[in-house]
Amino acid sequence: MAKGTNDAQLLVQSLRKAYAATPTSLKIIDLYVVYAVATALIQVAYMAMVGSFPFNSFLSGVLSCVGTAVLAVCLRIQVNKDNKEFKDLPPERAFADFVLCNLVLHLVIMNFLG
Amino acid sequence: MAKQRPSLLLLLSLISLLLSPPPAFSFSDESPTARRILVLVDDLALRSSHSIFFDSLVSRGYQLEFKLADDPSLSLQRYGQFLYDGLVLFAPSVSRFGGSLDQSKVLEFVDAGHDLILAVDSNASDLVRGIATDSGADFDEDPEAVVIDHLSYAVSDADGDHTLIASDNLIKSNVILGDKAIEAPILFRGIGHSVNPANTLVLKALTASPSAYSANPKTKLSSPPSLTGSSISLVSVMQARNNARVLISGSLELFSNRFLRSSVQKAGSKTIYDKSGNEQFVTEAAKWVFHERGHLKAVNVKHNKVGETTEPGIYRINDDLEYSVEIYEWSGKSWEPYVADDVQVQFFMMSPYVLKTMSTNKKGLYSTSFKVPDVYGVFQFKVEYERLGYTSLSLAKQIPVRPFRHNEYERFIPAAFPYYAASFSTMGAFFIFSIVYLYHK
Repeated sequence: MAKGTNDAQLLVQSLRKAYAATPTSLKIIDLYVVYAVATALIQVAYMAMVGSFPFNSFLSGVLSCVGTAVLAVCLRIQVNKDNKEFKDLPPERAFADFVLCNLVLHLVIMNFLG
Repeated sequence: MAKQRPSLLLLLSLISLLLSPPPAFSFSDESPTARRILVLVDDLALRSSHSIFFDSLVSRGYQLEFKLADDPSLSLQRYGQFLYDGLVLFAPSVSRFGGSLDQSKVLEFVDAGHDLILAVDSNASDLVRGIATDSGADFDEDPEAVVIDHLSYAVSDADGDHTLIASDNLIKSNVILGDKAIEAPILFRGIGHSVNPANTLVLKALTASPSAYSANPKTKLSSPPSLTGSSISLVSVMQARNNARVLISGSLELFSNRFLRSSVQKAGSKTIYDKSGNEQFVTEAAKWVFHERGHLKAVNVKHNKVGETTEPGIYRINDDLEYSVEIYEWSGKSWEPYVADDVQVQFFMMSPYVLKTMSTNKKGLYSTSFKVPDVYGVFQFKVEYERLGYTSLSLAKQIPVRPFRHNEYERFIPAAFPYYAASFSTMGAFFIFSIVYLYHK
């Protein structure tokens, strides 16, 4: 068993080292995604406690967090230089897509928030 | 001068027509009491032998017309209009009516909303039995049978075969029998009938005691009698669905002067009453039959939103509304406010969503207020009021109910503040993220 925990520790350390090597812009995107998902989880926990009374408000709040997280993940995929698929896509174009989609998302959210 | 005379005559006749008294207040919805009553008898001597009863009717303003039941000029209708407002049939032995009258014409008369008092005795013909059956009272089929009661008979020096009964099993209804209780027993001699218990329109006004039975008093009983005990009704009343009222009595002598004036002593009891309860019973029952009591009308149905006075064409769910109706009772001469505490209104669509008892201001106005339910559709305000002895009220007023418009929903609900905060914080985070992402080194 000592070997098991040793392996787990080694695994975590190697992950940390690899992660430290990622470019800062990607780390910023990761932070944003973590924030959005955490907000969504807090809302779900709140709904579990209080009940789903204004259900449209609940959906709107959760969707805004999850939607923006998904869009940020898409941005990260498109901007990552190690990704062969999007080699020819200018990162400005990816960021512009991200901003426009977020605008549309938040417009919809404001309408549905009730 | 000769030329002017005819025109002068014409002028005089016109003036006399204008000055003549207006026609008597006739039967109508505004004045529901009958006015003109046709009394059919077998024998015109009934006019004097039952004079107390007839005089009581005349003194209350009715116009009685006496005719023999086989008078060839009898007719209830002329050119589609009824000539009388009420019918009193004191002709038990008539086998065929004269003139154009027959059983179906009598039924038509009642179906048109007019009232009927029918009294038979031991020689009741099939015709009269048929009219009674049409109204819900089935007389004993044996033509020789009369009601006999060996325990509840009236002590008198006449018969001895116990066919003269003293009965005090009256229906408990102040509307039908008046406010004052009838203390003395009621004398009855005649045949008994039964009413179908499934029939909700017929009521037994005077029931025989449990020891009574219907049989031929002159012969020995060969088999148990078919009608016994409290299932024998001596006098029944029926209120049809069109509010026509019918009274069926198994004894014509119940209405006679002899019984009305006689004293009563019930067998087995020591009290001797100076006057039987017959006069009070027939007077009050006749008042009820001819709509002097217990006739209701409902007018002025109003509904509006609380705080407004006009009646809207449509309500919204969760609105507060008020409903009011005025109910009056005919007192014989005028409409008096009806006072009761059990008039209910329903807000109905396939089933009552709201059922409320209305409060009254004692002047005939019934009102209540409630919240429209959270269901949309086409509803009805329904008042269905049926009480023993009273005419039935059935009102329905349709009103649609719409759901919220897009701008009528609740906003800024406190329970949803975390969701509002989360959405706005996400927007703020997005803004800050884009700045940091674009301008970081």
